[in-house]
Amino acid sequence: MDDNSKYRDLFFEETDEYLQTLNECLLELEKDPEDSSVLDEIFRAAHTLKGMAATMGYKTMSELTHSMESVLELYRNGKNLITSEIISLVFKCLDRLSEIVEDIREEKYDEIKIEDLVLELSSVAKGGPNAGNNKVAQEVDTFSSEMSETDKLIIHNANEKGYNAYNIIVTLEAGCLLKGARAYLVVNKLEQNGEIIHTEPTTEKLEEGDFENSFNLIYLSKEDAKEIKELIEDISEIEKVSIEKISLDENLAREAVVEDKQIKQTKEEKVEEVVYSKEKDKPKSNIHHASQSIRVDINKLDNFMNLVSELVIYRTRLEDISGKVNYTEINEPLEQVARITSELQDLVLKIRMEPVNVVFNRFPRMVRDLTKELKKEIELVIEGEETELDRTVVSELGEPLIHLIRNAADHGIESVEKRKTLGKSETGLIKLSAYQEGNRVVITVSDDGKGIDPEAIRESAIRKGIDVKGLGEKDLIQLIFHQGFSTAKQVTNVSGRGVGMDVVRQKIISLGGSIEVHSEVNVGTDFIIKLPLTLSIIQSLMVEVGRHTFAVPLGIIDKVVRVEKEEIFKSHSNEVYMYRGKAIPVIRVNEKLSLETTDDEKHIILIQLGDQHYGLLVDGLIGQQEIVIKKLTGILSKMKEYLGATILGNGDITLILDAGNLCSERTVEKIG
Amino acid sequence: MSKRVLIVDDAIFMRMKLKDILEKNGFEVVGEAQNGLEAVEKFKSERPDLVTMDITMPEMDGVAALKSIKQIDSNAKVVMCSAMGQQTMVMEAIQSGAVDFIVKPFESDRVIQSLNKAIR
Repeated sequence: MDDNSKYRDLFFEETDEYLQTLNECLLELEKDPEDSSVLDEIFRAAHTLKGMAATMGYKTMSELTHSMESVLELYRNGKNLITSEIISLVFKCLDRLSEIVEDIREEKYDEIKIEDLVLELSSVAKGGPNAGNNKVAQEVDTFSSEMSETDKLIIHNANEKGYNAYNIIVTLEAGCLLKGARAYLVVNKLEQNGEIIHTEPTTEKLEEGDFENSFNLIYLSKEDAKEIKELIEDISEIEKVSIEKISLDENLAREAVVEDKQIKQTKEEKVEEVVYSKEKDKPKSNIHHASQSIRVDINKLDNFMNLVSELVIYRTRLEDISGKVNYTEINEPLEQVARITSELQDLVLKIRMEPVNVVFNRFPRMVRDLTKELKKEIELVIEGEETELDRTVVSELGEPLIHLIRNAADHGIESVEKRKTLGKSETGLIKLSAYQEGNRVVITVSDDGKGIDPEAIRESAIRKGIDVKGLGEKDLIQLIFHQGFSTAKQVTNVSGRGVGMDVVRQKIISLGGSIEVHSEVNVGTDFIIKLPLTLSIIQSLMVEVGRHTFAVPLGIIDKVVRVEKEEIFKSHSNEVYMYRGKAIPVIRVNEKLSLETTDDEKHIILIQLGDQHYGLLVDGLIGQQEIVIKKLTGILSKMKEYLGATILGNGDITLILDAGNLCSERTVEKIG
Repeated sequence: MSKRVLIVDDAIFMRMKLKDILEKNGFEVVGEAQNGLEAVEKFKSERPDLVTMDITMPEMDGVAALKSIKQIDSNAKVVMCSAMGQQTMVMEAIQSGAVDFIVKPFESDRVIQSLNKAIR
């Protein structure tokens, strides 16, 4: 067996793509069962998977795809109609295939059983209207092993015209696949230089491959035996060719002369032409603008990214030093280095970008399944799936989005009856959209379902002992992100046990993003997620707190203002600052971090998280700087106040404040 | 001189595998195409000694591509790559002038034997 291990990665990558294509096409087919081009694509994808699996030697996988293909073939020729049962069955097969692929990825082979599916598939195949009605009816072998009188006559006539008759026995190699086609190749080649007048078994059986490893031919040709032998041996997978010249008994030949006229009609019938180009006039555009691309191991890209990050750090150090040494000649090259580094940085960021489609494309299938499971009518609309985000962000995005969509389907969209009585359209709508806004990407999940009832939240919160005093409707809705909160009266299979939404929010925050919710009873709910384009290099504001320097990501900063002590008011137990006529909570960063503060001038950094403003009180401002985020590891990673650390131009290490966390802890305190 | 081959298959995986087999055995892979249309274009520009042609492909299938190539050069040597269950297609291909066919899963020996014979 060939060594296939080095193709593994490629195999998985392509397999994933084909499985995805299959999923997508099946959904399309379900919408329009008569679209033969979609069916063709499904068939092709299944077929390609089969070939790949077989080549890699993954038996279970190739068996299953083979069964799928055979069933699909029945539908492809248009005789059977696609039903939702068959689509569900193929979906089941796809799920099983994914499981098998996962197993293979973990180097577990052939542990998953597929017998049930194969059985189901073959019963579909048999149950079809044209079952057992093979196109070519098997004829009883009409040729005797003896030559017929006609054959003898033909040979006789041929001899007179200078043709020789040969009896040829061709033996194929053991293990030869598609014997029928192989035989046909032999027949076809011979017919270019002569005429085959008899085959044993019959031509039909020959073409169906219905024979052991060898077959007989009677062949008329002017060529001599050696040339014919070579001609056949030139075809691959031929084990042996034996050829002998036939000489007729003179008497028999004379008898045969009478039926001369039949000769011309005995030409072998050509195999009927199968018109196979079902491809309609598809747009041919995509081959032309398909630009050249290569696949790169993501680890290499991460590595590249790290190196560029290091470069940025040292560039900043160089700039720092050149500021001190007052050596003007260095400035120009340093500027060039700076320019090139930022271009390099831009480039590596772009390389790492991936369309959100990679995550979004699994949702149509998910919603379809949910629709069946929950017995609701739901339509999923996806917009802006080409929007790009850093690969790391994209891959982390799946889980929270799955959660939101499941919630929308389960709790949001009402049952068909309910929707009818409310005068809504029977089909509920879930909309998933993405677009870029400045240096962030906004992803929204909206539904037109029943919305979140603030009163229900209030009751539930009181039952759980959460203080809801002074909370407006909007604030009440925000409580769904509170740990341990759930409004679902029943725990269902589909969604949540009340641990969901706070986990979703944690995840989004850990990606440097924010999530907010807007909801109106009986109109629907929107979740709005904002994410940074990238995670590793950010613009930040360097601030001073108690003689320490910290970095605050610039993306979340709304405004920075200088404040006098008198401008900060006490309300209840908290301090607030009046901003645009609204009281916003003030967080003293030094208190949060248990640092002593200086009595220097104070600044408030106004940040926006979701639709809520907060003010971070810091001692001083240093300036804006591009920083490279290094993740905190080990015990430090448990410190929620920090996003990470960065190395400054002077070589110092500075912590990056996680503003979201500093502020949200406060909210929780307020509620709890 | 090593023989120049054009590989046509819609799966990168298959192309890699085939390319590897060919290059190990002294063939030169002068081009790869992922569908029939590309195959015809590449055939025109590269004029390979030999083409390995997958049958099921998007845009234009292998048999149609074979026919187009044969129109460009009636002496073109095209070996079809087929899977089990594609007998009719293979036969149509042979009818249209394919010199041979190889069956997936590929075994190096068989592929090389077939290509060597096809090119003779």
